Amino acid sequence: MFSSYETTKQTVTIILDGKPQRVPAGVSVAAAVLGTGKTHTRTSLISGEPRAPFCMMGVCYECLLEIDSRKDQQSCQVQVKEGMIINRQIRTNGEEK
Amino acid sequence: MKHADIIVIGGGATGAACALGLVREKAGTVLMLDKTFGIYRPSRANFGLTGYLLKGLNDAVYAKWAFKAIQEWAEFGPQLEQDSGISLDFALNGVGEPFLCEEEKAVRVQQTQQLKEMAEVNGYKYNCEILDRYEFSQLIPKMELGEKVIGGMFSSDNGHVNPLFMLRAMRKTYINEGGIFIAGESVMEIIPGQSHTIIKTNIESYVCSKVVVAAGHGSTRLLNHLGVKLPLFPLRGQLMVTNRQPPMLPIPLFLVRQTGEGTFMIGVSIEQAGHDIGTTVEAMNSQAKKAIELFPIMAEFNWVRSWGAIRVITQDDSPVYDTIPGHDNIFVLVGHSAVSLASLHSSIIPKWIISGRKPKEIENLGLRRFHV
Ligand SMILES: Cc1cc2nc3c(=O)[nH]c(=O)nc-3n(C[C@H](O)[C@H](O)[C@H](O)COP(=O)(O)OP(=O)(O)OC[C@H]3O[C@@H](n4cnc5c(N)ncnc54)[C@H](O)[C@@H]3O)c2cc1C
Ligand code: FES
Repeated sequence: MFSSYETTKQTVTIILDGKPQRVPAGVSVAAAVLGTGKTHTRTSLISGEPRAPFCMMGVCYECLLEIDSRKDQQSCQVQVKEGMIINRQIRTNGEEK
Repeated sequence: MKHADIIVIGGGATGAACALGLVREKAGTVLMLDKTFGIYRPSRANFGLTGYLLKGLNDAVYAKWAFKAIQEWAEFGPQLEQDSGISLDFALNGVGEPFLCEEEKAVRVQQTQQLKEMAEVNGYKYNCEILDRYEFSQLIPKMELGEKVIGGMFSSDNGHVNPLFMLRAMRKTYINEGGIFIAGESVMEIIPGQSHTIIKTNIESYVCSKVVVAAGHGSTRLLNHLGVKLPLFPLRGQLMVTNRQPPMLPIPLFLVRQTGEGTFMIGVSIEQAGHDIGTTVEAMNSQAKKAIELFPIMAEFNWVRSWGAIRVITQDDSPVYDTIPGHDNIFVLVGHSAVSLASLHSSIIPKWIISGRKPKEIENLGLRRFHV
């Protein structure tokens, strides 16, 4: 389901944490976000630790992101689309930042 | 042939608690044998309540036993955490149950009254308050109740635990304190003798002085060979879990609880489905609907996993503690609520197994009650 950066010439623009980003078309949201250089995609709701996509295959639930206003989406299972609005789920003291 | 003083068959909640108690009581060489079968896994698939709430409606002996188990958990839980170094997400901060209509309330009020009276006769206090909607909402200030909730009941000294951590902690402590655990061997046959019993697995034979059969539904086949018919039947429960949420539900309810990791567990259906551990859309649908009726915000949670598991249960819901007719060195421990009862399975039960003297308080929790 993932295509490599080399073979994809096409890109789409996503809005990540409010900023437009050009990412390869056809990749998963998780891959796209990691590809922008972000090291973590959410913080644990209980411990506050930073977390990032881990299994990239729908099993571990580490990759949850807000995608087009829907929270807690498994971003490794969703393909990027032009204009997609993506927010990382970073919290401090239990509040969304 | 390998030798042990006591062999415990089954390393689930019941077997592990008992085996741990036996090594703590210095009962000699204790061997616990467990082969994990996919369908015999309620110890790894249950809801994790440690409670006596509504238990023993059919049986005053069991009601008191369950009550005592939770009093003992207050010490057993922290001690197990300390000995194992594993945090159990254990808390005795109460268990509640909301009422969604007047009929439901009437039934619960009547049952509570009955259990209170039984307790009074038997010299203890069954603690449960009936609350109105406002009072019930005060227990859960961070979650708005659905409009149908008219009130609820609450017992402040019941609680919950992570049952997987509990099992791991019991097994670990058992091993640390000298117990031998052989995982992956399936017991095929129990062969009683004059003074010794032979336990045949698919791999080895063992000889021992005493045997404890705590193999859940697996016990039925083992005891059938000895001419004992166990009064167990399968009763399925299905559970759903949601994605993690910030802590907001401070007390467990029968229908939903929030775990230490933030996950909500929703359960638990009661179905006769034989030994099928599958899940059904109908049960998921009805449980999810009820959960949302209770807490509308749950409609926004994602459902991430679900599973079915088979209860080990008797006709009257009470557990069975007995020896086999003609063999007073073969003990059987089977039944429901082995998480709640772990504290006693780890203290009073091992003492009985060592001494051979069955305590009065569980005299009536034997096999004979099914043959009248
Ligand atoms: C959906 C659900 C929710 C529940 N919720 C709660 C709750 O909230 N609180 C509570 O207190 N209880 C609860 N229970 C009940 C509780 O889970 C059970 O009482 C408990 O797990 C029974 O443990 P056990 O060790 O007796 O049996 P089991 O868990 O069945 O363990 C027996 C072990 O023996 C092994 N075995 C079987 N045959 C053999 C053999 N021949 N050789 C070797 N090994 C063998 C099995 O594989 C298994 O590992 C729930 C149960 C279900 C199904
Ligand atoms: S990275 Fe594991 S589920 Fe998405």
